[in-house]
Amino acid sequence: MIFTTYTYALFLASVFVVHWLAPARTRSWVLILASYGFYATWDWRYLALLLGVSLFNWTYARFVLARSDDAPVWPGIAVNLSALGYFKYTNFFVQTAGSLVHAAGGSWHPRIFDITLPLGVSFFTFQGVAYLIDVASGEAPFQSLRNFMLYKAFWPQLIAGPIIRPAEIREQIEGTRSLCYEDVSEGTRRILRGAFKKIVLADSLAPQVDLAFLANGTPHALDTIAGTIGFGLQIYFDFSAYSDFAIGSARLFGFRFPENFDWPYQARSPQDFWNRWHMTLSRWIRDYVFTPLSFATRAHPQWRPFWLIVAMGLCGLWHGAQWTFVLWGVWHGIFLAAQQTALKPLFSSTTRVAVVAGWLITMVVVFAGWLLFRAPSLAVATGHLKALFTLAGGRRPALVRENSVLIIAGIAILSVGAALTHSRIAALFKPVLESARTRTWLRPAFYACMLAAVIVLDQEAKAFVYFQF
Amino acid sequence: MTAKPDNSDKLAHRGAIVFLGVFTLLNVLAFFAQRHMQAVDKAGRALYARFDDPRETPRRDTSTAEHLEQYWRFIPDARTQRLAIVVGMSQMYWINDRASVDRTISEWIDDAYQSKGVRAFGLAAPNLDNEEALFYLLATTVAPETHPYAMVYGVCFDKFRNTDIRPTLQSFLLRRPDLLRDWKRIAERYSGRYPQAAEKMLGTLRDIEAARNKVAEQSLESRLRDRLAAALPIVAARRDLNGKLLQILFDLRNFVFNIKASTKRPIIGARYDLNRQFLEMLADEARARNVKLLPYIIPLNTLAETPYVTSEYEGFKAWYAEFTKARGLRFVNFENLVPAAEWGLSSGEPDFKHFSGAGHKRTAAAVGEAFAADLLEGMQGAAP
Repeated sequence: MIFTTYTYALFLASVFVVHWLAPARTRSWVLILASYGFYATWDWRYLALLLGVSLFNWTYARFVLARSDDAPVWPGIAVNLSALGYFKYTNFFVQTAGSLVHAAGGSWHPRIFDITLPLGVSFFTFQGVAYLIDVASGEAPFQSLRNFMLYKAFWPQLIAGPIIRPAEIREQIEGTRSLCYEDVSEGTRRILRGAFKKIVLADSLAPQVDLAFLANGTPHALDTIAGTIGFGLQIYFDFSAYSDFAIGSARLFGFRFPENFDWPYQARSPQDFWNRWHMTLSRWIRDYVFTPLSFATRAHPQWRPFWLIVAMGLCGLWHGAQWTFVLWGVWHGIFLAAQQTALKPLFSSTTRVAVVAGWLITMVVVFAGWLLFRAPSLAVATGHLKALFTLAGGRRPALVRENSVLIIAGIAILSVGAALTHSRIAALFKPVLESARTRTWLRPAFYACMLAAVIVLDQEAKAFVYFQF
Repeated sequence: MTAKPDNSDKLAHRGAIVFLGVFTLLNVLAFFAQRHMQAVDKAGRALYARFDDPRETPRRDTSTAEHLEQYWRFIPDARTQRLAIVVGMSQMYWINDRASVDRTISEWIDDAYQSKGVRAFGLAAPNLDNEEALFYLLATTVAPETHPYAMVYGVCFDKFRNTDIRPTLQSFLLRRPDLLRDWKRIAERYSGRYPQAAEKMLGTLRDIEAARNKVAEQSLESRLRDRLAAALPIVAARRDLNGKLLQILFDLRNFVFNIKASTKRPIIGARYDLNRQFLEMLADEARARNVKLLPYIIPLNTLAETPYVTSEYEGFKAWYAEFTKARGLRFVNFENLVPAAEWGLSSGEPDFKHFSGAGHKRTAAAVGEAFAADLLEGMQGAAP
């Protein structure tokens, strides 16, 4: 069940009514049942996996707490990661081993296993790991299994985040939630914004981007540029739309999820970008990968940049079992490390020139990274980079049509313009934007137009890009 | 203290009323916009179709692959007479400045050969690519009543830019398990000789399979859409409005980039190669199925500037000559066949690919003459 379908709208409305009509003590069960039902619409066979992982983490956290003699947390982490490793990385490691043997002159052709990746496994694994580490570090655990099951399975965040830490939601789950106008109003507005971003913006860009990265396509510099910019915009609108749906849906039931995006293309440095892009994942990588590694070698601060690269490489691998993703992570890691070393004077300067230069460099780094991220293989990525540096092709793009260029350019100009000016515009027009007239006339009219645009441009529900991770 | 919530409640209620009011207004606008678009569309169709005699049995798929199933039963019975299917892109069916006496290429061929014991049936579709041409060969040859003796195919260079089987033909495939099996068998058979084309065919099968699963999954979704469409005009009109928006974007693109029908469009390497493989596979498979493949390079308006890059088009013709020679096919090039007076206008410029009724008649006569020996081979009293 994809968020942008009428089926989801019906599902959401039904659960909303049942949840708020149900007695307060049974509301969490309503949400748990709805969440498992939601997951079953993808593939019911993996319900057992979700349930098993939930039961294991709850039990293991209690075991860690019950033992006063520093019970090890790593077996629990290993169990979580083994599920992820099996489903997501088995073929990757087997194929890599096969390539290594081949490179060494051997002739081993490993069998590719037919393993289907359960939806959301990357997200609920990270959530499980975070829970065990937090509990082991002294955070209060969930006392009731029911509440923990809701934390693990609550459908708005189940498939693609935000990756919520127990401390952020425990009180909301354990407390009594009540229906209020502000939650419903903000929740529906957020869902509508998500639908607009996904259907009107991301899905309009998707076919144009697919053309540029066509399998067996002949790379052409202009195609590569248009396709890469288009993909950078597509993935932002797609994923932030998913987060809007998640945050908005949760809000309808009285939950406040952490934000996942904060105008990332406004970032003035690589680090600033990661503070604005997929914020809950960046935080996870920082707290559970980078910080422990840095802490372990705290006597050798010169290792910090290296751990940054390692952490980002793992972040890339988390996105997909492919070397292009690893390279994408390492690429970002290198610039994050550079920001703390060689490029520190530039990124820490506050002069206007340095700020503009910092933004430009960050955008080049980010969008070049998107090329690696989107290319289906290293060979294709190399082909595109070669075309880019040799300016292959003529003055007109070969694959990406001019209408696509118009769509990409139009959305790019609007997005960059909005990213760079939104705070100034908000400050300038604050009295107008917050006036009663705007709230009662302009804003509802604007949302009605947005809804009409969503309906007209909705051709067929397309899965979110991040569902594959 | 109590005034504030009251005021905000009032604001919220007013906001909801404005939202519903604007949304209702947009629905009313969508309703009238759709009605207008449908009226214009209907008038256009009526204008073009006024020359078709509804009493006459169709001699071609006039739906141009949109409703192939409906026209399939009109294919003359190949068990009782020789059948030639005439396959190609829009040149095969579109008639500029159509008059009541005008017929399409396939109909003229049928007129000329019916008395000689050969029936022709037109299977054309806009922007038909070579995978789709192969589809027509396989679809007709699975049953003896539609198994053609010959397949006349108008080969068009710029259609080597296109790939994929259109959804309406995919649906046709989906409904015929024997054809699906045949499709898979052919893909596997040619995986060594034409790897990209064979992989593409298997990809088409995967698409069809995915579409089949989707249909099952989406039954609730489509029911919900239908229900909403019945209640909200904007949902009902969304396809028409979407099409209109795309048309506006298309016009805007042409304006911004100064694109005309004659603007050069380079070939797309990978798609060009794929279509070449499909044409080769078509030739091999036609031979294997005992169908005479009669291909020709389609006529072009020599007075109009084409969007072809000259060197690429010359390269294509050289390859095509080699291809026909290697497979023992007749090399027929009608590039300069139709004189300037027999073409029409497209967007104010001379149409480089679609001609008037006279052009259809001339092309059909040329096809009939060029392939007479093949069409009438072995027939008693036949004079090639």
